[in-house]
Amino acid sequence: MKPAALLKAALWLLVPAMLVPYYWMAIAAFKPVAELLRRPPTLLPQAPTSRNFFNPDWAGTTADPDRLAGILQVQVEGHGFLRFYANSLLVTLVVTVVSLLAASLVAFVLTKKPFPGSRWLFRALLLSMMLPWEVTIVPNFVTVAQLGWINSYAALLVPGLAKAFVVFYFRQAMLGVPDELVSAATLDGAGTLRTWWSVVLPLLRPALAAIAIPVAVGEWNNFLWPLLVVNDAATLTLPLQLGKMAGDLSFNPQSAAVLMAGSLLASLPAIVLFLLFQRQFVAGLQAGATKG
Amino acid sequence: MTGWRGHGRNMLIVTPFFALFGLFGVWPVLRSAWLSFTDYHATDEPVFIGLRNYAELFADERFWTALANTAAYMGAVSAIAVVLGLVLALNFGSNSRLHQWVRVAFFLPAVAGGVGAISAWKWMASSEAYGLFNSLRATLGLEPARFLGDPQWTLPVLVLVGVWSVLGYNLVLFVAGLRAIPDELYQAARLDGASRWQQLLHITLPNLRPTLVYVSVAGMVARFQVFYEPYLLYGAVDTLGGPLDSALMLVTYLFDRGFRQLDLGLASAAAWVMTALLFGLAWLNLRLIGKEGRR
Amino acid sequence: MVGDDKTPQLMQPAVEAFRARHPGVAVEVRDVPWADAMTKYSAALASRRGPDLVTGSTSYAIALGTKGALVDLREAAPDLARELERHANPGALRAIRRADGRIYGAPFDMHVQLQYYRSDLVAAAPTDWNGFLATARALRARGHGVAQQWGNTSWLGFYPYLRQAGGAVYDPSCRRAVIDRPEAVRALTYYARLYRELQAPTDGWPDADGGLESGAYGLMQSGTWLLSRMDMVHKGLVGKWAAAPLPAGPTGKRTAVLGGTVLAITRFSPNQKLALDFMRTVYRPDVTRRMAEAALAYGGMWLPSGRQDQIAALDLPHRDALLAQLADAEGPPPCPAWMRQDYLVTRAVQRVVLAGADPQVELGRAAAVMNRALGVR
Repeated sequence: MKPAALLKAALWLLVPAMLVPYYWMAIAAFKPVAELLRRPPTLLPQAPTSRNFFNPDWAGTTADPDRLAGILQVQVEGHGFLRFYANSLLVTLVVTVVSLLAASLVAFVLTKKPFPGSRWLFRALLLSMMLPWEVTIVPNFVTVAQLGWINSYAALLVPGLAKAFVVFYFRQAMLGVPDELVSAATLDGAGTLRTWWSVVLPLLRPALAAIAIPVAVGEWNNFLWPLLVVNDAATLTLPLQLGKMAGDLSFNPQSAAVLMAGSLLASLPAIVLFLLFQRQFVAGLQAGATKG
Repeated sequence: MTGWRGHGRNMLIVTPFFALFGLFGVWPVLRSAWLSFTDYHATDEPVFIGLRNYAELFADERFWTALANTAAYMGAVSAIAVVLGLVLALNFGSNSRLHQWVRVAFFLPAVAGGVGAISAWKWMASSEAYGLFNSLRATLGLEPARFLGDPQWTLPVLVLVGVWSVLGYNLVLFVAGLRAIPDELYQAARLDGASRWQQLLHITLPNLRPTLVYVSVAGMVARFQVFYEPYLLYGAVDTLGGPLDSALMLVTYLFDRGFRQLDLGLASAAAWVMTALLFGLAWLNLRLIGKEGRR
Repeated sequence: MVGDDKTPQLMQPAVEAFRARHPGVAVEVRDVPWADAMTKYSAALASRRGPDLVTGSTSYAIALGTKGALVDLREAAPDLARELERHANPGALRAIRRADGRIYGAPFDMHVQLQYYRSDLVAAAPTDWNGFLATARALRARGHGVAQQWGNTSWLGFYPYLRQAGGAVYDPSCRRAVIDRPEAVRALTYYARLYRELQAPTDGWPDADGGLESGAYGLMQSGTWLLSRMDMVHKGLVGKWAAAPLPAGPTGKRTAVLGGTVLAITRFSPNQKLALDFMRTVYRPDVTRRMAEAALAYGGMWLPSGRQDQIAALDLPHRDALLAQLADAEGPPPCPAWMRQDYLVTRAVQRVVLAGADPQVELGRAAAVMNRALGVR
């Protein structure tokens, strides 16, 4: 079965090939600038250094490649990498938690406690899912600019809180919640909110966990919208800062070292979390997919 | 059995969500439709100009270039990622630890993609001899290629990064789809003496159809809207299209016209044209893959 | 301000001098990457909130000024306008001044294209087009190439050749595109030889200075910013490089492109008087010189295009080359249509250089599209 064996071998070769970008990123992060630009490049850092993360020789702004700021020292208007990291974390966590809670509540009401007109609302959500996000971006940008939200956390948080596809996802999950449980809670005197919180949410825990992951990954990596609404370093998110540095890469190859260090730090948590919670990640992304 | 007071309370409960949804989900759709018929540059009020934006759009050579590039990119990435994803799922789909780790390797870009990973690709594709790609060429005795500076390399580079990004995703979905096929079907076929090829053609593929449809359609829709890769790899101060606009895609074209040249009216028109194209694409896909084989 | 994270350091002397006169005023300097500047400023304009002063490219300032978003300096600060008339680089001033005399921004900084070469490989920089070809061929015979960095394969890299050959993009009235005339074709034919014959890299921004250090290139073109950073960034090049003005074309001119920014005041600013005062501070000769020196200290370069008289006093390697080139440097075509049409010239250049098309055909095509948009015939 020669051809089959060849095919199998080729497929096996793909496995390390997929990891090459991460490997290249990692070794570049630990190479000194001089070694980084060596032609041909070294496959393993010959003089590994942590300077791209923290350079003890950094004494302020300079073009000298030996004295460039490490990624943890980079300052933009007085704010550093940790700030951008924190901003990304804040936006990701807040949007994920709030949008999931809101969507599950809305799905619960529309499915289990429908009021006159709820079907139309649901149809509106469905319709909006058929349209690509591009048709909303121009007016949303103008709205945010006119509200004076440019550079504020509001611009990063608020527009992403009402997610139609999450409502739709929870609706499917809601069909698995027995009506009897809901009516039992109502008979016990629980209002809608109490029922949702104490009865429905616990039942939805696997669904919540699953959908949380694609939503969180999407928010963490979000680049286009923040690019439009954030200029100030105070609210800059990680992808924005990395994007700025990537833009510099053509003009300034020396900056690759620090950029790769930053990229590594940005990817590492996601990679570690993924390796620890593989199954949930896979289930999550399947959830985001099949219900779409 | 909810009384009117209950209805009222429930309506109140969902109001915040729908207020936001209205403001950022519904209102923009209407507004961008309106804006697509106006001349609007963010600093003044929009001025109605009828179909002029659309006319200008269709008369703009760069729009057609973006459309052609997007179509080529989308077709190539989808075709490769679907076929390769399926082949990988067939070969690495078992529950063994080894196969699980293999799938992890493919799935990593879906999780840890984004700007950081694309920056790594940009660094690897450097036109200088210290770029990884060019050092590989050097070992083969070839001259360095201008991967990011030569229009002939643009599509291969973008397709490579594109396939890398989505392959794991397809793999995982195909594995789930394959697992859903009952083993009895295969057992029966083996008893009938069917070869592996025949099993593949007559059991696997037909039963995988829904997954195939989903993966293809969703994949194509997503690739149609590609932005990060062309923007980060080929975006420059004066142009977002790369050499000879070979990297210009529909969304980067929209971004360029709308947010760099500030022609927000035209960008809105472009967004709606894209929407129409997407509908057409999804419909076409469903017709070709969905209905086929309904004997 | 457009720039990078070093820009606030550059502004320090001006901020200090200003605060000495206005102790109660807080001054904040923020930098914006070039690519995003347009979007950011427009978002600010749309929301009527934002910086009091901005820097940006000349064309952008003209576009914003005509929309009424910037303050006309001639009207608001005639004393400053007079100072600029006297001391600013004429090319830079010409680029920002409108036909009716309105000035929407003050020339802030500038850069000009220069030749850089390995002094150990090349005895003297070529002084004309033929000399350039000869030098390049000799270098190639010894295994070194040539490269263009600033504006490579775009209109900006082609423009010096166009002007040196006596060509132009538009006629003096700005109403007609003349980029298909014989002089332009000649210039593009010559430009194409850089790539077809001399195999110069075709990236938008090759690592020409790195290549100079490694020997991949023996001669290259880049901007004046390298003068102050070359030794700092490429330690292997110390003592082995030199700079010279561009080689002269058939008309004998060695015109280079003058790129730069202008400093402008936004009309929605509630602090216009203070902003004008800040501007006056920036253009004081002592402040200007200190700003330029601050930039040099970190390996950057700020060439004050508003006060050219201060440049001669700066401590720069190969300063004479810089001054010589500044005497023959021009900004992009000062026509309003240029900002929308520059991509047509870039496309023609790229089709010729990257796809082997014929210069006459491509320039003709570009001219036709431009003229159609201008409403000619």
